[in-house]
Amino acid sequence: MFCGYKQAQDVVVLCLALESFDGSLRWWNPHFYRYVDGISGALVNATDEKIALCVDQVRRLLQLEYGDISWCTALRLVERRWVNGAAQDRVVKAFTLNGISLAAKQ
Amino acid sequence: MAFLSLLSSDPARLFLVVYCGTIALQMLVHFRDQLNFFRTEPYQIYGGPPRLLGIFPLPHVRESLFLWAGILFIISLAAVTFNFAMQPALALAVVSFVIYFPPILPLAYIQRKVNLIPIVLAAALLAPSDLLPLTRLAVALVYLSAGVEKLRTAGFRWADGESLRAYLVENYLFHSRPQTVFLIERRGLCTLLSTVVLFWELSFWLAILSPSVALIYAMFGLLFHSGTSLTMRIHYWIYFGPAYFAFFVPFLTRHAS
Repeated sequence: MFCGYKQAQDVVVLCLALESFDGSLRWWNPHFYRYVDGISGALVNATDEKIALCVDQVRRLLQLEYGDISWCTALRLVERRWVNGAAQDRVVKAFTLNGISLAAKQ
Repeated sequence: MAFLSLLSSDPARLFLVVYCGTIALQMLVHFRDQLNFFRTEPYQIYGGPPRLLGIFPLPHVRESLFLWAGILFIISLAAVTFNFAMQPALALAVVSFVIYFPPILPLAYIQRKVNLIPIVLAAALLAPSDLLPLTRLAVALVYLSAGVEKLRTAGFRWADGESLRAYLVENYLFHSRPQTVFLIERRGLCTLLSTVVLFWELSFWLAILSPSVALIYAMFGLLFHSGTSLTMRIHYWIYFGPAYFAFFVPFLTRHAS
């Protein structure tokens, strides 16, 4: 339990945000919450083929949780850090959910 | 009445009753959640389950087998609790555990937290008279290995509070829980907690030697796991917590007699 040594300023986590038609974003916070770090970790340096697989998995899990997911158009991989006493977010990549095409924003 | 007589006569049996009864109840409470997790097909994201004892590959479990294994696990634990066909029930519990839990190991409150269950059940099956000391030893080894690993990676620097803060920050960045920020903002408290936790883990073996010391260590353990549950969503108390009865039972039996 918590055996490694690290410092708060070095901590970086990857989260996934869901984008709606109107451009609004909300964190993907599924009931089985470990899926977020599992999938976002796999997305970081993934090949296009692997990304397509991950996006498919997210779509499958979203459908299981919400049923209709037509409101969700894209998925954003967001890097979160702790800077000056608050969480700071930076979008690393964005993926469209309605297909295997993806748009990367570095 | 039977329970009251157990209180004063057989601490190991009392422990087994309470332990298996509690695990069975936890199974009943979380069974639907675990089935739902199974239905999300976690192997598609995390891969298949690890090999049993690092050697034997485990077969792919279909939903019907998963359901049956879960039901048999609950029934066998209930049978142990009510002293019905004790030895076969313990054996069945171990077998159904091995089928039921591996497919859902990535679930946050399962991962590593269920490791003590087959150890306790196997000890009850193979060495019932030594069940209490063996369970206490297993718990102490868990904490000792955690403490030694901290020393191995960072030495006593681990107790400076920075690492605990970092783990809290990491958790906050995922879950944004306000109570986590409360701790993050208090460096002094993080240092104090880190120091106490490291000392507690490294010296937990003292709890094996004396029941009165054990009570203090076990109480602190409950506080520690409540804290990680509240601030980090790390829920050890569900499946690991019942092993703590091994430290409380001698105290209960002594006061009952």
